[in-house]
Amino acid sequence: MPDAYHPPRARKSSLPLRYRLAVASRVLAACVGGYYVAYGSTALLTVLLPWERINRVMTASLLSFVVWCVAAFWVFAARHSGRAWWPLLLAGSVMMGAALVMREQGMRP
Amino acid sequence: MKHSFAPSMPWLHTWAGLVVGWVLFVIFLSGTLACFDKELDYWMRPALHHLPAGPTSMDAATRTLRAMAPHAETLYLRPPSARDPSIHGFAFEPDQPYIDVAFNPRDGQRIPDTVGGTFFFTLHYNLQAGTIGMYLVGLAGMLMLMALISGVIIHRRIFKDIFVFRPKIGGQRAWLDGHNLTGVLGLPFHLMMAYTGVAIMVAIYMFAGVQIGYRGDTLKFYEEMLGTPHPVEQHRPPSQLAALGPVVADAERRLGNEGIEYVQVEHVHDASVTLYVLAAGRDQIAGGHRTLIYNGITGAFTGETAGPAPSYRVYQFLSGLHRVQFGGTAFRWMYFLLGTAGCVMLASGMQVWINKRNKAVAAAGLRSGYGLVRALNVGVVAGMPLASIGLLWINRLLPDALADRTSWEARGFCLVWLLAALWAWLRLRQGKPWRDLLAGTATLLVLLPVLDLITRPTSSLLASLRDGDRVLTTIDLSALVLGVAFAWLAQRCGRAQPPASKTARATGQRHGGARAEALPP
Repeated sequence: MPDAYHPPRARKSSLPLRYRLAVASRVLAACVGGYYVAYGSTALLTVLLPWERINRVMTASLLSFVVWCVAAFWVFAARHSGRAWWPLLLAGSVMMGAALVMREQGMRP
Repeated sequence: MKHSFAPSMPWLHTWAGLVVGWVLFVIFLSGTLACFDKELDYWMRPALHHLPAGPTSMDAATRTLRAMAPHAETLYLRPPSARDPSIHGFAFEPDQPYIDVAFNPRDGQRIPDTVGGTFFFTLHYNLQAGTIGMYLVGLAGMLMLMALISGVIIHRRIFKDIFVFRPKIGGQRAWLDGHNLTGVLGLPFHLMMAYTGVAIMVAIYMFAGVQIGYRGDTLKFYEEMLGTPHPVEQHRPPSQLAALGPVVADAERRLGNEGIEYVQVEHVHDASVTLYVLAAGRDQIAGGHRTLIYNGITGAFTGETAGPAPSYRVYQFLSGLHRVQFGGTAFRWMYFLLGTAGCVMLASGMQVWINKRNKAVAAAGLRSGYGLVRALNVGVVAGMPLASIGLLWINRLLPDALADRTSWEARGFCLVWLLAALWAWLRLRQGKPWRDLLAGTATLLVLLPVLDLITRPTSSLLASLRDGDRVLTTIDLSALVLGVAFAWLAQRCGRAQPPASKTARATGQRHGGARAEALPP
């Protein structure tokens, strides 16, 4: 069955709309959803890491691009393009929420 | 076929690569040229080519800069260095464009303006499009990181691919081999550059840390990061500004072979005026970390800053790896060659994409997404080198006294590129747009020393060979070598193409679309 990463075998002049939308959805999920997860992880690590504030912030921020990358890979490996979205949004929101709850902790010098 | 991780990788590679391929090509090529930004800057400023020997006048340059930016709170002055004989001044004024000018180091007067080699540097990090461009570059960098890692996963036979290049087979196979060869050879470099490239802008791209740790107070964040205290304002004007000449001389003595990056004059209009002298540290990848402090009124040395936080030193290391200010000319040439390999990787990768869809392209015609991809391929990949060498021509052809000279140079660059892209688009249906643009680039490159001889006889190849000016000689000779290379490419593109649809069918298409690059030939 043709789906996100198995384009239909019959080589027509144009690919079905569904395939195109799936491509767009995944690229968007990798960019926007991936960034959201990376943002959340930076916020949470800023709170949780043990060191001085500046070192917590810098380390968390520099690691965020790795988190982003892992999230993007997860998006493209997901079984279905629709299913790529919600775990990213959930993970990002949980981490961001936790960081906001522990905000005072994150502000310690 | 089962859904699993590995088969999805070609998919990610294809789409992440295509979506930002052209933007990445612009970033790669401008970054490659920016390896020699200061050398190109020097080439583009003939006023610096025959400087008389004599002392450096930092104070005259400071006066000129202050007159240019009377309301700026902070001035930056970069003293002459081995790579750049000029004094550079930088200043921000509220609601004014950013000031970045070069002064004659002898009398501190402005020299005829040019966008200089900095043009390529700015193009590299924000596409000359301000904040939006900077975010676009960041996103392209992330997608590049993804495309690279997925490329590695695709190539389980990665070491074998290094030794495989079969240009004689022609068509798709040669393009794919070229893509693999340059991609695999340059892989560690490209991975490093993609990561450090986004990491350089970390404070702008990833604001969450500042938001949570500093409640969004960016100034406080930078202060803790750099370890440089901000002088406390006294709300009265300073009696005078200390002479910079002796301060620079004293700092040079204290820093020894670390050298000076720039002098920062903080709070110019307040009695709290302070001078910070930053060490260059060109013998270290991370650059200098020492900052000397001088009283801005008396010029007396008052100590050193605590220095940056350890994590900032890590950041400096990452950014230093990317900006290659260490290690001298040999390293810059290495980065230049690897950057060129990256450009070839991108160009051939996008060609693979179009060749693989050859039949579909023919069926859909030029007024389709495929036509757009083909037009963009020629317009960007062949158009940008033409515009880049065009910029050097424009620099020599515009009169020195022209008002707003830098804008005219930038406009000229864009105009050449637009015309080249338009030409390519018009010639796509019949004709050989690749050959046309590559031949144009080759002509401009080869004739560059001739143009120099006509417009600036004192800076021409003959003069620089006689005077032993290594930088000018190298740039002119490199233009000749590159010109010959482009002529060879143009000649190859001019030949009759092998029946591309046949080769494409034989290699790629029967395996079905985007997945084919994972499969053996």
